[in-house]
Amino acid sequence: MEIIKKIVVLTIVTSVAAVLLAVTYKNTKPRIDAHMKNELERLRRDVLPRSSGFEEIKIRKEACYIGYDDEGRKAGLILPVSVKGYSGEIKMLIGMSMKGKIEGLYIINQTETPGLGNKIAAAEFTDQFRGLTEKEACLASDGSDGKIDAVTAATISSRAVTGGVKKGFNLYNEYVNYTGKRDILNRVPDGSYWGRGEGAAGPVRVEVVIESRGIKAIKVIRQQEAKRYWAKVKAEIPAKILREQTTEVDTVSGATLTSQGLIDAVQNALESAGRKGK
Amino acid sequence: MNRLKTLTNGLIRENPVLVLMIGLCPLLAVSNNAINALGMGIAATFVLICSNVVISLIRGVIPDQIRIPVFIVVISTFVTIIDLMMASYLPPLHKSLGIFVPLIVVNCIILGRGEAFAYRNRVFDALLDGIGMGVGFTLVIVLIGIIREVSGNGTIFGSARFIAHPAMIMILPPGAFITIGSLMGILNWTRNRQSEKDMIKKEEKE
Repeated sequence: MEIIKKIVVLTIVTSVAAVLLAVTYKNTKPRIDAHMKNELERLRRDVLPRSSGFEEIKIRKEACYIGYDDEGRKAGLILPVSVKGYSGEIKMLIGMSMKGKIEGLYIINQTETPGLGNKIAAAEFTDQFRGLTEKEACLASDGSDGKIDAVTAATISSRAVTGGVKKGFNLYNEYVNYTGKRDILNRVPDGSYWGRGEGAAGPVRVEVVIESRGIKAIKVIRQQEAKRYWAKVKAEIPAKILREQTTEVDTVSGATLTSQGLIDAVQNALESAGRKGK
Repeated sequence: MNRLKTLTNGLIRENPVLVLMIGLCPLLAVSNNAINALGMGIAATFVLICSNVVISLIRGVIPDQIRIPVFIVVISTFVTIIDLMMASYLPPLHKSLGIFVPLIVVNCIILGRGEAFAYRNRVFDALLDGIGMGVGFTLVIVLIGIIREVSGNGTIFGSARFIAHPAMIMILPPGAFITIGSLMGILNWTRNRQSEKDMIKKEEKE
């Protein structure tokens, strides 16, 4: 009898607790989610002050944001980066202008030593990054161009942050390269252009026909690649480039060098055409 | 008179930290500056009062052998509800107290007082005990926070630094042990002297 009472009481207590928790959770979740969203939005505006709208993009599979200003121009990129610090992961958000300068840096999460390393999250440290270029965003003690003063007695934590910023610049460069290759088409006047790339066995020369801002045709003028590679590459790469209208296409596996030679040749043609178009 | 004693017990006579020596884990963890200490103190006091009252209310129906699991369910439910409510309605406060709230679950002052006091006393007394113990905990944690922040970081409540070369060790974990040990020593010393004096007085009277 005693044991049944115990079971009943414990079951009732835990059930009441479960119901209370479920009700509270359900009622508070929408508000908490909204706060978190606002908080993220505020953070983004903090690290990229001139932006008012955001669009999510993936750079190297990282969820980044493009910030747009009031007139709808690109104000910059917001890049989330995480690095290994002195005693755990450091997560940060970097705001980067389209000129490749840091607009703002915010440490979202860190577990560095309290009183020493955790000062990397303070504005005194992070504000130093504002306006710096890739070269300048290093510790002053690590290179002659560096303009960042490390937190006293926390050089490793400080260096972790500059390492994270470097990662941010890598993402930025990746984005600029990517859009640079894509945007080039908008500057190229109609016509046909020659280009050259380096294949596995020598130069690959192509002629690319551009019509109303699109790649219309790719003709191979000369190449000396091995036949068994070339056959595959010839069949796949030009078709892919024409379909996707970009040279950012995957190479043919097993024929990487040959593929790259052809892709580079097309890119080279676009670039020389783009220079003329300017 | 008895109720007054219940209320003031936690301040010095039975101070949870310095005399009962419970609740040391969160105390050591968050007393490295005065603001954090104050936040932890207030949050813990609030949960302590609520859980004392609830445990006192339901003590009649809880079989003796399962009281501890019931207490733990009550406390953790409370803490989670408060955490969610704060996150939803008082986000700025939640942001500054955020990490302390989950820590309250492991604060054994709350379980300790539930077991030692609320389970054996009436609701009103449990309420007074909760207030007294909570305030006692808050006073000590803030005191330790101030001592450690001043000596270890040269600031007080996040003010401008007024000591040029503070002793870094004080805001690291060893500083917490040093401070709390010294405070306990001072308190015991004064209490011993007091009781010695009382003894001498008694003997003289006899």
